[in-house]
Amino acid sequence: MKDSDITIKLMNYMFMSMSNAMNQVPFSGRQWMEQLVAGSVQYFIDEYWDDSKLSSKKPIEICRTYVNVMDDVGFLSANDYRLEESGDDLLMSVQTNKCVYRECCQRNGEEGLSFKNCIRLDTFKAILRHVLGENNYLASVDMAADGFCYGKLIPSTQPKEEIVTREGHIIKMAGQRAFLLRQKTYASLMASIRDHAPQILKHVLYDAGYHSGLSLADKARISYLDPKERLQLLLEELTNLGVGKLELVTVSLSRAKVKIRCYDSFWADTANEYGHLYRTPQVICDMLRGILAACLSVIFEKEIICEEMICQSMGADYCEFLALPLPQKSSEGRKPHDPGNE
Amino acid sequence: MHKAYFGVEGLDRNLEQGLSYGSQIMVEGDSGVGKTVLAGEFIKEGLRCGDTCVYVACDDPPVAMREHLLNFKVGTPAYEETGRLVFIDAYEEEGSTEKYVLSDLRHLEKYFALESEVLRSCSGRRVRLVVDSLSTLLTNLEITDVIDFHRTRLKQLKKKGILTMDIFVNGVLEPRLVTITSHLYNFILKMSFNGSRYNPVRQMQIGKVKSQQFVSSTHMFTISPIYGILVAADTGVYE
Repeated sequence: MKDSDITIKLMNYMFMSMSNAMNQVPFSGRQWMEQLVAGSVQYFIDEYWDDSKLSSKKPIEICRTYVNVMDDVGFLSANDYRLEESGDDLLMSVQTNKCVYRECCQRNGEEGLSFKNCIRLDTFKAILRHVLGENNYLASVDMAADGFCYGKLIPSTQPKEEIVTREGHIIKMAGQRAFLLRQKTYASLMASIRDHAPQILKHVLYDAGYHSGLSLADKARISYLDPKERLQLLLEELTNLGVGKLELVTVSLSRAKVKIRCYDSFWADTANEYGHLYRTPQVICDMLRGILAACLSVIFEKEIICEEMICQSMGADYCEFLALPLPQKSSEGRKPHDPGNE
Repeated sequence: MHKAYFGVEGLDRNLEQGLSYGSQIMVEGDSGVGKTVLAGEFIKEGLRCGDTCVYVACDDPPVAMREHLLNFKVGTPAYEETGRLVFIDAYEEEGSTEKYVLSDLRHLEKYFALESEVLRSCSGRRVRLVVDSLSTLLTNLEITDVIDFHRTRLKQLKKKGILTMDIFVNGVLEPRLVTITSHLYNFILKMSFNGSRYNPVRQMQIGKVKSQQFVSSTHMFTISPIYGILVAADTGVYE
């Protein structure tokens, strides 16, 4: 099949259109994109796949066989794809201009879509699921400057946070029951807490954020990503959950020092839209501060404390968080300052 | 115009207009009543509002306030790294590892010079200054020297728009000196123990000196290891 083949172009247009549509879906867009790819792979499997061709049921063999079958039907050249194992991970590399999906990937990147699925990796996930049954892989791909795409499939046992499903009248998020809340309702809930117990508000928000951040970060703990990749993954998950668009500004792995920005924070937007909870303009994204502190504590395997240094609710263009390790106490077990020691 | 608060709900509720930057607060109280905890709340509030906070540690090493703030989940490393939280060590004298150290507690001019140097480094920013406790610095000095120092210093701080909280421990200074000194502040908060010997109750009295009028209200409060100072505002006794 030639690169200029109009069939390839039309296929890329279809995937670009699907990617655009899935980026507008409020939840699970990435998952639905994977499902669409898996659906098309299933039609191919039904017609061309034969399990008996497999020499083993190792993931790398399954993917190699799949590439070979695609070669046999003239869709691609199997020699263009290099597949390797790295522990439980599956590594793939291909010269970018040899990938039939490159136009879709490049155009999606140029259009700044918040998630960009690698169609090739999604097809591997589909064939792995067909042969091995239910499985879950995290996929990451880097379109490198050397003209190659480097992809990685990482086994994961954790459900994806962003997957929202409906079972009759029950909505579930990552397998747990959930319900949708309007911003106005959230604002009135916070205003109620403030009116009845103003002293607890910041603590409740921080602690709630910290605990939910711990469960979210558990996913990153079991993957084989390096700390920076884990952090990027978690920031992407949080962005998908709707807390705002999170961006990693700087990270020092040796100092466990991280600067993160959040554009359009849910909390800052709520304050600007429905009124401020405090007497004076101040940083207000305590829940996100707690989530980030928990995620970073899991990633760096030490206690990290995170502060919001500027907030969009105070007129800044974004909220900015600075996280650093919690210093060692001079005397372990010391309680909050004992006023009797004054 | 930006207004400031203490960060203690029951107290702030009584300050409808808040405090303006350049105000001077005198906190006077019994030993152990919670003055340093109040200072911690004041700093915490300042940091959240974007202020730069300078804490002068006279009665404990700076690490005590650092740990106190950390216990209340205030990430002091982030604020210190960005220069938003500055400690002056006026406790250790010798062997301190702090950036700013008062090497000799007996000379007020040295203190004045150090305080001015630190505040100069914060110019252009909204600043809160807490001296805990100023009475320690003023012990065993001539009353005229103290009043001169005080007048000059507070005038400078007002001119620079610094929101200042000076803490005084009851019984350390001559009552006459405290009375004269208190006239230089525009907000006074008295903290004391009340109730019986076996069941002491913490109490704070807000006093505001303005145009010869003294308006005060008294409130009971407790100290929570999680929430800090909790004022029972609604049971306050208005005088």
